Amino acid sequence: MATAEDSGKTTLESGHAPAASAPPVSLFSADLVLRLLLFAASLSALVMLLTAKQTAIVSVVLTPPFRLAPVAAQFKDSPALIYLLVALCVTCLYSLLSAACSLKSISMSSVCSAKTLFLLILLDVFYAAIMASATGTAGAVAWVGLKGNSHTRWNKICNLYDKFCRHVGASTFLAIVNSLILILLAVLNAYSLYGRSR
Amino acid sequence: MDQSRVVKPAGLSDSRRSGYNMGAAASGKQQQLSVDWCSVALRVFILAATLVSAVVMGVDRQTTTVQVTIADTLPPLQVPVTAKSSYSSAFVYLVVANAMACVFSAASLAACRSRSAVVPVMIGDLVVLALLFSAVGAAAEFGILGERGNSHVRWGKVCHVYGRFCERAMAAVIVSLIAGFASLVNLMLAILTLHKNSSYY
Repeated sequence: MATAEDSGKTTLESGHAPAASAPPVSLFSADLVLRLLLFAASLSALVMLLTAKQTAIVSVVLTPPFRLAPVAAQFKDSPALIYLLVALCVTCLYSLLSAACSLKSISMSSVCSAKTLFLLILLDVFYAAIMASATGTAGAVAWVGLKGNSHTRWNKICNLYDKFCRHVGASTFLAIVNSLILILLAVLNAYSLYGRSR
Repeated sequence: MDQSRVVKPAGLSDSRRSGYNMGAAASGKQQQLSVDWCSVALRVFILAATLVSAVVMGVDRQTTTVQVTIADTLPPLQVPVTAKSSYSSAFVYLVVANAMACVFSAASLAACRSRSAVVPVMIGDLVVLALLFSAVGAAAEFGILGERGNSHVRWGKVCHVYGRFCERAMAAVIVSLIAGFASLVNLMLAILTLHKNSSYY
């Protein structure tokens, strides 16, 4: 209802201020599309992270009578990746719920939709912070796994577990995309709220 | 529905709407905002905290000697080893992100009175928030790896050698985390102000 009225107003006012009256129009649909995109990205990142499991033959004894054994690498081995998993789960759930809210607020009165908008921005900012910290954490451990650190004598492991590393890398990349989408959502909704300011 | 716009004549509404978009076209009263002292105080706090965190992490360095035993017959060698924050990419990222947050919060303090800067400052706040939190996450993960190691991939712990270095790095991460939370509170207060100013409130 709000979007219909606003678009009607836009066509009325467009003669006077064509650029100024743009914001309230159809922002809810862009919002909805972004939220669905967020859901898709977080779900695929989750799947990528959960399927990251690889068994490689490595030497378990480093002194001369070398002994080779298969050692599995999975996301449970690192607390950073568990944190990423939890953050992705929470974001996935939130994207579904907020998409439902956004869909519902299209048909609500504009006072209600403004309140929903306000709550959604607060939650967007909050989840953007969570996603950003999870991305940083997983990125740090993935970077050490990829490059190693000679100063602390942490060897790189991605030459052994190449498939595992590709999965974790893809998951981290999708987490970056997730946090960018959340920031974009917050900016979009804040702009739409700002467009209604007195 | 939408009473404020219905009551006002269209011309007034238009001049008001173009006022905050162009800034220069509006009257002097609309160009400047009243100063929100809570936001200013939070920004000053963020400025100080990010500066402290960047400096503490930037100058963090420790040299200790470790004993290396080559063979049982020879006496153990004393080898000096140095830990610097620039040896770890996560700590460098923390320093850079904190410096960027510091510069941005100085810029936003300078621009807090201009009406046309509300939306750019808010976007910058969001970006700084994400930067701070991801840097804190990366540095904290690196610190935890140093503190505990990871037995699955045989990354040994290093903090029992570099005790002071690790404590300072932890202090920098905690100060930076507090700055991140202050930035979050500041952003939420800005959104609340925006909501209270909106015509539907």
